[in-house]
Amino acid sequence: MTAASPKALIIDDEKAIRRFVRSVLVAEDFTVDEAFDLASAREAIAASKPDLVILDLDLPDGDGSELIPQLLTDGPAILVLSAYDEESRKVAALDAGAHDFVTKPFGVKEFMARVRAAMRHRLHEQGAPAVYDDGRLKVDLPRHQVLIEGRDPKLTPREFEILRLLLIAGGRVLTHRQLIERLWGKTQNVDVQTLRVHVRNLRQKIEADGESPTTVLTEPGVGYRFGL
Amino acid sequence: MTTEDEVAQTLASYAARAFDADCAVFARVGVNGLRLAGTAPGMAQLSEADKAAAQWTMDKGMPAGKGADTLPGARWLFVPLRTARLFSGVIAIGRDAPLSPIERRRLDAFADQAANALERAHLARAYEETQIEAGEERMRSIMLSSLSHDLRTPITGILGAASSLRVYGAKHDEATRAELLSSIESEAARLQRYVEKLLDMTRLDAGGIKAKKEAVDVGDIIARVVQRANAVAENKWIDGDVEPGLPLLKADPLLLEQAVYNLVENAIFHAKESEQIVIQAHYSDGVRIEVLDGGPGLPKGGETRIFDKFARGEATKDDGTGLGLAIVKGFATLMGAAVSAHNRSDQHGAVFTIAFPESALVSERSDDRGQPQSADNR
Repeated sequence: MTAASPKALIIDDEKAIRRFVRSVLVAEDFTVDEAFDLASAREAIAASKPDLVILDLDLPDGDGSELIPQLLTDGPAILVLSAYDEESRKVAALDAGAHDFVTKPFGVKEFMARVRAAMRHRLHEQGAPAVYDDGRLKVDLPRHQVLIEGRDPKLTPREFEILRLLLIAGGRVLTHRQLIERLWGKTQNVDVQTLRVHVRNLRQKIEADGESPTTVLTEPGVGYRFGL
Repeated sequence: MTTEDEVAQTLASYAARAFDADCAVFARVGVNGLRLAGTAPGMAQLSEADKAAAQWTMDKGMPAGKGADTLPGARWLFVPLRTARLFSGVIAIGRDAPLSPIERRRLDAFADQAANALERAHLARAYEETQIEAGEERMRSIMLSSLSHDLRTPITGILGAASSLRVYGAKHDEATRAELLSSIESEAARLQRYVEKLLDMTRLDAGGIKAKKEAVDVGDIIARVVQRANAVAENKWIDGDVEPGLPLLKADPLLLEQAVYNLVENAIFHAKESEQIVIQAHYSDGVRIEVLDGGPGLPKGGETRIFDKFARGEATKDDGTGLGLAIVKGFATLMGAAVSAHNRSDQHGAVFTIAFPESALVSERSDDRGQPQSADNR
């Protein structure tokens, strides 16, 4: 992070939500700007060049995801606020370039974990930590080596790739489409079911309990994330 | 009466005159069913056996009854109404004298025309029903998304503010802590308003609310609403204006108070720039209670739809619940009163009215001043 405090822009039409999100970000040493609709958001983005954008999709004058293309040129971390029943909208926002989402209602711990993951992604865009080790699971990316409690779980190349992609996303969600495109390429017509089969096999090999996974987490209807 | 019935009625009347006979037209229901859709005026009743014969004609696609091969002894002649694609119904002609061969050919020609007319009307009705169903489906989906948004938003505010205080309480300055606490209060109040309305609406829908008929002084009701509303309205003043000597109403005091309060609350939310809201009550062929605001007024064509549940779901997104006015309409209807809304003629703004008919008044007006005075020229 830069020495100056990072700038955040909160785009939400609900005063109560802006208020508490602001309180959290201020406590985390962000400088905070607010906007309440698309029009005021466009002005604020142009004026302040934020490092982090908290984006509600349901704005009075349109869909918040309309702002994503404009935001991508300046490259702030984009965190979408969404409702659990807005699956297709949040998937569209993520595929358009948003970095992560939180589902309303949310507490500040979950919110800050997502903010950190989204910011981390932005700062580490070019490289990921080479070795991950939580004591049980060790992943050495350069050597393509995975160890579970010292044993090789014998991952297939695809299973390793899923693990690698989720790991370098640093706790951010990856949508089904993003994973499929990176695993099989854009031209292949692979369905989500096939992805699920690979994820299930991966979980059986690396999770302590395949029924309640803690490493490869499911975001229902959206995709997967690495449980840091 | 549906258009399909009107067409059947017209066909029956025409055939009755043309053949100097009784005539009935059955229209198709579903794939192969029949219902009596039109009869010529003053016609003899059809017996169950006659109806069974009509159904036989529909099933077989062949004439039956008087002069036909099947049931030749009957009083009626049943002829299928056949379009190019299907049978759209059956026409029944009842006359003591059998039809002559020329009349029979005329009847067949008529049946061809009638078949097409009836089928067109049938399709139009089916189309309309599909449209209504699609409308209800859309309504349901607007309702659900509105419901979840309205419940979730205040909950998000409350949980967020509380967890911010818990996790960062020591880091927040005094002003931030005060703001978060007032957020929790106002969002909880918002949730409370919403849940109350949802319960009212559910009870209304389930038929669980019975209106009492007590003698009610409208002035008392309005005074209470003025007091309640002024306690919550920011930057607004609510005034009561009750015509002296107004008769008592047979009404349910709690339902009436809530209905008037909902109208005022609606004005508070929708007429944001309006500083004053007036509740008037005056005599005009009964008692009219009107809530006047100085806001932007109603959108064109919104005068009746605005009382529908979640009517605001399509147009605006605001603090309202989309239920308040539907509850007003529900409560008013239970008390035998009518609701209406229109734009003001003297300035911009809207007027919402609850009108009690003459029959809902308990006593004559205490001072008979002859012509009832209208609210506007006082």
